[in-house]
Amino acid sequence: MSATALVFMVTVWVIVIGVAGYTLSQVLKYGDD
Amino acid sequence: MSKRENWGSKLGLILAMAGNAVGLGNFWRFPYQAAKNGGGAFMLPYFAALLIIGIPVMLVEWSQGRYGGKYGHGTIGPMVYLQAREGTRPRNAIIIGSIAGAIAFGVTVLVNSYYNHVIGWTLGYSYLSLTGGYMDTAKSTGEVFVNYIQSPTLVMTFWILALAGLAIAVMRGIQKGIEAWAKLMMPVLYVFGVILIIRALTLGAPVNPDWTPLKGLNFLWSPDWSALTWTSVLGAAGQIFFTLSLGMGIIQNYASYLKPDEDVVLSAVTTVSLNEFAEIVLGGTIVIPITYAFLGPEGLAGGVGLSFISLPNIFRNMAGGQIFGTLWFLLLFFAGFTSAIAMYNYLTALLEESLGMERKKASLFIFALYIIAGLPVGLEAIITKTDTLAYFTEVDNWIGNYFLIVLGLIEVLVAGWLFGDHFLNETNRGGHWKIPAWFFNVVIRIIAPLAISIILIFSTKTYWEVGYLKWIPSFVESTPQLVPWVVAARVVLIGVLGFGFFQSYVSIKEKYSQELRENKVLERR
Repeated sequence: MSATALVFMVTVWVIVIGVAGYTLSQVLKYGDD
Repeated sequence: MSKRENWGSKLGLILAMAGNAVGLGNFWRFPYQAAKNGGGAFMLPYFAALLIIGIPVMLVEWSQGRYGGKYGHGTIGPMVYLQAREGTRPRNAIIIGSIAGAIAFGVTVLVNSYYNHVIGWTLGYSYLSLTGGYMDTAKSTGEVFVNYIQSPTLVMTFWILALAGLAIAVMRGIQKGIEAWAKLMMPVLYVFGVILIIRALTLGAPVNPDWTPLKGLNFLWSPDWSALTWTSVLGAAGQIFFTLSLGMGIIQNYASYLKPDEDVVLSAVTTVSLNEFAEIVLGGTIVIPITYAFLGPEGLAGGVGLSFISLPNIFRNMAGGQIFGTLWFLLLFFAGFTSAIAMYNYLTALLEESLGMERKKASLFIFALYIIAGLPVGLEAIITKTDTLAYFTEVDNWIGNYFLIVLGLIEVLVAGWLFGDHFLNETNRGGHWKIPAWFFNVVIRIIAPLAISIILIFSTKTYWEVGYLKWIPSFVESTPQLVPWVVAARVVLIGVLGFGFFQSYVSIKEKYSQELRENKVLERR
């Protein structure tokens, strides 16, 4: 796997997983109030 | 009208909405689109479309749904009418609302008429995987698939089973049915996805030392700029509509069961992010590495056949293939089921709302409707003994691809320009997160409608060039025996859209007859 492809993939994964994790944690934090 | 149900919990709502958005497109269509359109180069227009179309339209649909639910509506015709009448006269607004209602009716009847079949296939293939039904190497997996879609027993059994599952879930209602199934199926789907990723990345090089899963990922993530064309931009924008279930009316339907002051913005963004996780991380890391490891770069050109022909071929040669095949097809089944249920519920809500029918009765009625609407899809291959599926292709080309974009455009124009400033207050009311005024003024009012309009113009141009607008479309030119199936698809399309328009018009007129008689633009509160 080329360095460019690896950096691109890892960057996108970090952003996608980070945003999904953060938004979900916010939903759970506010709960059903 | 009886009191409308609400979602039981925030997590249940988010999982149901994520289930609504996460569908077959995430695992089946996305890898194929990405591979076809330049791998890494596809991701740039994809993310651009996500930011300037996907997120704004998702926010509009959530907001529109909650607003409509406040007035007792779960269908999009009256929802669009309610917002449009604040910027134009009610007699104009009813036309806009009826067009929106017609498209959503067309999508929920016709898309689900073939989507339910594909879900049936995934259930059937889960069964075949578990029982080793395609493991005999004497028969190619292409032949197995053609035999499957031409077998009345297999097609009808798994189709009816999938439909019955949907009917039971919808019959039980929002909390006990849809929410309960989503809470079970969505976490299982994510777990299956992760197991399959681990398996995909540990395959080694089973066929050719040059064909490794990592090379498959390299193919997906290395930008091939020469493959980045208008076609790939259109493919990316179309994928965003399809993957997020936008322009179908079903996000609004689910949002109509929100409480009047329940958060919209954070929930909508969470739905998008969970969908993108399923699409980019899971969808992008299962099919492509597995296919590349066994079939090399040429194997990725399989399209629809990638899931039902190439992958079974791989599972039969892979250690533990029966188990991983079962996990793969169950993953597809859960993804498809939790999306189809939203379309099913839309039509159930329509009957509850316009005819005052009870949920159980309405659900049974829709079951019968889907049997009738799905018969041509199921019978075509059985009768014609071909695998072209002309009826399916024609319906999908129009209602499953083109009209989604038209409805998305109507929604943002109505929200941004007719509902106007009121949209911002309405969307932010009760929100844990709020959208800033600049986002509404720049992105929702200007950039999103402009981008969707450009996509629509170029889609029309592409349809013209590839010959979809011809009396005999290009994909059946060499098979004249399939032309009647295309004509039938067009008659059904026109009939369903016409009925949808009429139904929405009558439904709005009955409820808002007085203001339609007065025909004055509603005063802003």
